[in-house]
Amino acid sequence: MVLLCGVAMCSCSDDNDNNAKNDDDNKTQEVETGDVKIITTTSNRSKDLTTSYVNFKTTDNMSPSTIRLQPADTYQTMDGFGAAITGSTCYNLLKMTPEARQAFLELTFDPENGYGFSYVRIAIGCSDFSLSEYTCCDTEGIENFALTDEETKYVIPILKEILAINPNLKIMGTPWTAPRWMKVDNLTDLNPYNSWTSGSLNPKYYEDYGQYFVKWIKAFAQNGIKIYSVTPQNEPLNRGNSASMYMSWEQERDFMKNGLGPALQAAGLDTKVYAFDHNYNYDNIASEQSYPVKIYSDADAAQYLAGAAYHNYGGDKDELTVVHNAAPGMDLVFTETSIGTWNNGQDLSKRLDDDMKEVALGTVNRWCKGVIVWNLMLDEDRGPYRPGGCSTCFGAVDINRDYTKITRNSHYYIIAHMASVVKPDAVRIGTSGFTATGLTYSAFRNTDGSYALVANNSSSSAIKFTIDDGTHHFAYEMPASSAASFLWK
Amino acid sequence: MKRIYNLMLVGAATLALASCSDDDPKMGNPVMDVKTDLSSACFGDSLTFTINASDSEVALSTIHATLYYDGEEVSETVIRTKVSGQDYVGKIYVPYYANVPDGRAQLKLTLQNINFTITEKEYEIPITHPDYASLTFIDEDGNEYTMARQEQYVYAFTDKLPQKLKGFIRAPKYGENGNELTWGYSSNQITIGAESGIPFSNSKAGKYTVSFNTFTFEGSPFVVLMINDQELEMTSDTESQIDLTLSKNQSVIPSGFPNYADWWIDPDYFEKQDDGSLKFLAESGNYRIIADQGLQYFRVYSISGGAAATLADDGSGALWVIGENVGKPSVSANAVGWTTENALCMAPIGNNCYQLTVVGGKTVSTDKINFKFFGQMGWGVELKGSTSLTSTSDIVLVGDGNGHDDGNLYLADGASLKDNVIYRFVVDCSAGIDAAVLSVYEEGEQPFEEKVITLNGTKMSTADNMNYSLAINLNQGDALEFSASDIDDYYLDCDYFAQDEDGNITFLPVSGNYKVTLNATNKSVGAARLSDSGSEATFSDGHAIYMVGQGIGFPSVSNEVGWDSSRGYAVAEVSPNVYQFSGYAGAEGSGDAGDKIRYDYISFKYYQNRSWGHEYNLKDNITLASGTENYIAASGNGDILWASTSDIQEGDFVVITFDLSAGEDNAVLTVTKK
Repeated sequence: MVLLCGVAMCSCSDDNDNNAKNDDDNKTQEVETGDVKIITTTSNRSKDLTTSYVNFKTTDNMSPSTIRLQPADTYQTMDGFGAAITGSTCYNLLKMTPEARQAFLELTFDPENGYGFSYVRIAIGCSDFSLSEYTCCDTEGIENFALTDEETKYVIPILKEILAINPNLKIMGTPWTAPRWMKVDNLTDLNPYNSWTSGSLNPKYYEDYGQYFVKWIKAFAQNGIKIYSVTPQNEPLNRGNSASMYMSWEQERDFMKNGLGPALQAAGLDTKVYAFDHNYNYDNIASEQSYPVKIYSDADAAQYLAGAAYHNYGGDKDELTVVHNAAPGMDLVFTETSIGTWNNGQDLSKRLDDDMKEVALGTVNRWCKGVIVWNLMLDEDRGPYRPGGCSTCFGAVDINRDYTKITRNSHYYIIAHMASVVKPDAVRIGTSGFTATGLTYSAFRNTDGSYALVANNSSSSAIKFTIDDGTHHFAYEMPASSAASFLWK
Repeated sequence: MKRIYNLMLVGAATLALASCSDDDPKMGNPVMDVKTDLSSACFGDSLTFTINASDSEVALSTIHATLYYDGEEVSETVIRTKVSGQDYVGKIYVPYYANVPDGRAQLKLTLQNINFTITEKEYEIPITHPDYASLTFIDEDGNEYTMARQEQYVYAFTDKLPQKLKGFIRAPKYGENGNELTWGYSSNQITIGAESGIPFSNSKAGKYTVSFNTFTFEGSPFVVLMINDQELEMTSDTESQIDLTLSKNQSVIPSGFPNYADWWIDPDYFEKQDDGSLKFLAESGNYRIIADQGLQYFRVYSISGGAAATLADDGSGALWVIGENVGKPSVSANAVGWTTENALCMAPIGNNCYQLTVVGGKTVSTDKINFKFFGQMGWGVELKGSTSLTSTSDIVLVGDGNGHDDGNLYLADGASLKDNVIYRFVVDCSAGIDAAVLSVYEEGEQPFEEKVITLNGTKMSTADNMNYSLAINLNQGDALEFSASDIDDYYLDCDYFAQDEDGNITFLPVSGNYKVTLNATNKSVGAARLSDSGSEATFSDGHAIYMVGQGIGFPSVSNEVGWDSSRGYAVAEVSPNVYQFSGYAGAEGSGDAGDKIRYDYISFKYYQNRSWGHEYNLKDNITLASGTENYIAASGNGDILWASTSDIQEGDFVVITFDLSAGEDNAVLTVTKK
């Protein structure tokens, strides 16, 4: 016998009561539109950045599972969230039809009707996901600086299309290597070092290399593209890759105070500079531990720095807290993480929870103002990539060989979950109350007064909770292994 | 306001339309008559209800009572209902959570018969917090303190308490349906229903207030431990930790640590400065500092990427000690053993060298050692005598399977380490972890480590960390502040010092130079007059008067002065030329601080200095004030004795005044009992 206990039958009851009611006030009920916008993704994709709504409850909030926002308890102001617009990403995007590309970019970057990606990272010169090895000054002499086809035909056109969709996009620039004529084998022997990888910046070119940054920033500005921030060197402790340059903390300190910092200042540029831009564990090099903090201790260098940038290919995100505590006045930004064949990068069921906990929420809850993942788009052959670079990386999205079908990976989802509700200049605020095993969250107040909360439930069971901002409250049952973003005013 | 909704539901929709037919299986007609006024409840109640349940057609099954807070089920009870028409009594618990405000809860009563036909009634019940007149705090020894209501939700008591106070809070039954509730400690927070002790702590022992909020479940005090103005995270009852980036030689400033003066300071990482700050000695890097309040020391280890650092192949990173016969702050208190979580992180001292400093008989055993070096705080990479570690020491050798386990350190045959001698174990990994070299340096005897106590900010001198003294010029009524965190546990000589309920100490005698003495062994503070030149005063150069004899002592008669003039008790000059000795009357040998005089026998005299010489006795030069003859009699040589008429009893407070205000040759003795 099938039991349908929810069907009312009052016709034979002496207790038939006009007060019988379908009282849904006390239940989590999604509605077509409502007070709270919710975007949900489950790792099995049954919800795929799915938007729903719930209304504020009018009942007394007695829920013991209440997450209470503490707006007076404020942390960092957010810069934004996004991915790297590498040469490879631009190449793939330009292989799409203009209409399809426009649709993808609008969905990704439109702050009103899309997910509102708000902060991207591009290479100053080549990276391991460009179309060749190059810098913007491969002929000796800083007067030979010029943008190349990789900028003018790939990166800049794509950035212009994105800026047309999201004019407030923030852009970070990072070099993988200095021009080879500026490199030496080491800082003792100072022998010329004509290689794209490893080597060190010759101290006699500190000023010229500083000018290189200035010229690059100005060249982009002339194309209508404002560079918001730079880092002096991508992964300064990495001598490998397809292009790289070793830069100890002492040299980055000296370059900051004798090259890059004065050059930016003299040019009147307000571009923020973030030190380090590498792993939490400093690649286990004892002398490089606390890399940015050591630079901060030199006031002449620190005056030009906004903070430090980190990747997560080694060590633990708790290092962010350590660095913040050592220098509370300096900012932190998370600038690179990748998925790939080594971490089941295309399997959302294995990546969504981990990337939400470790990257999206893990960094923001440890003071990062921005979160930028690696390539926005790679093709289904994980490219194009450079020899010696990463041949096993996946993009935040992957596109098939005829550039018609896009598959979203975990990094796209986690950035979308953050950027869609946490707007630039939002302030992270405190929370108190309900916690549960597997539940991680972070709350924000946007500049328009709206509240945002992004959560991850990595447990194998749904978790029901109530969110209370002190004025309004609402309930939501968060599916197992899912991410959810809430926005309300 | 109570709202009731009734709803009858059936178990089978397919049967619903036919349920009135006599030919079909009977659905029944369960009816509930709720006989209890469910109009209000308090958090923590067991809400009792009576329901008459009946079904004229089908046997009954159960009554379910389910309570919801804002739609969230928080409590349920089930009652079997075997007989129709009977009254059934049930109870449902009304859970009490932190930070849940008063409000309307929903109670759903469901009566079901065996054919799954149900009828429901829903009530909205206002739930409020109990408004107790008082709570009770019960400490670990079972002592009870009444926590009086201060305002809504807030309860507190004030008493003289130890620095650490562990206990739980009990609330009485409240109202008709109330339960006795407790709040204890669980998962590092105050939790209802627990009786494990809440580890309250104050900056020092003495009088302070313990408070608790029945709405937020927040209590106080808990000392806030800080290092360099950053708060440590409490990880257990006794441990708090913080991760810091530290530079060699930088100042590390702990604050808020109870009994900090008594903390053991690890010489590998810190050097204590006169101002109490610590100079960081290891190489610059990231470190985790764990403040262990139980053992009273800072455990330090290197971290990398937020986790305990490990040893890299090139010898950089961190080197750990695991094994027997070594431990900080002492082997006896905290031997490392083979529990990897206890591993000691050797201090990095540069060039991939690591240092462990130990003291024979204290942090390392002298007759035997059996520990080894590891590349992590756990099993894994280890330095072995057979492959990767050699020793330059003739005393400390590295096992290689030669009867000693591979890599384990041991003492050479016949060798031992020396008591109280410092040994510095240095492992040089600069040639990589396959070519590590151990050197052991003998650094001489462990010097006396003074525990500093100050009086009004001035350091008191000591040679043994037991007896402290300070020569100081004091004015009558001056406030005194001792840095000893347990000063409230000391007996302060009541003729020299007064301490109010808040612990404030005031100096009582006339202004002048004094030597204030603090005895950490018997926990007493006394004083004696000094001359203007700073020497021990006599009457002529400093208005000093001493008592010498039997039946008197400080801080109790167990420390009797006796007929040893060099031990004479310096009597406090409480007003010009008026000297006062007071205290409780105790039995012979009493060790209770404050029992300064025997009730049954005394025999003493007054002297103008701490040696035989100008004395005052009842035979020659002391007159008894009127009434004092009832207490005092003279011996044949003028010693001051209790008179046979004295009614001084054990426990009486006795005040003996020696008045020279009419001149040094006109001494008047007065005894009063209070």
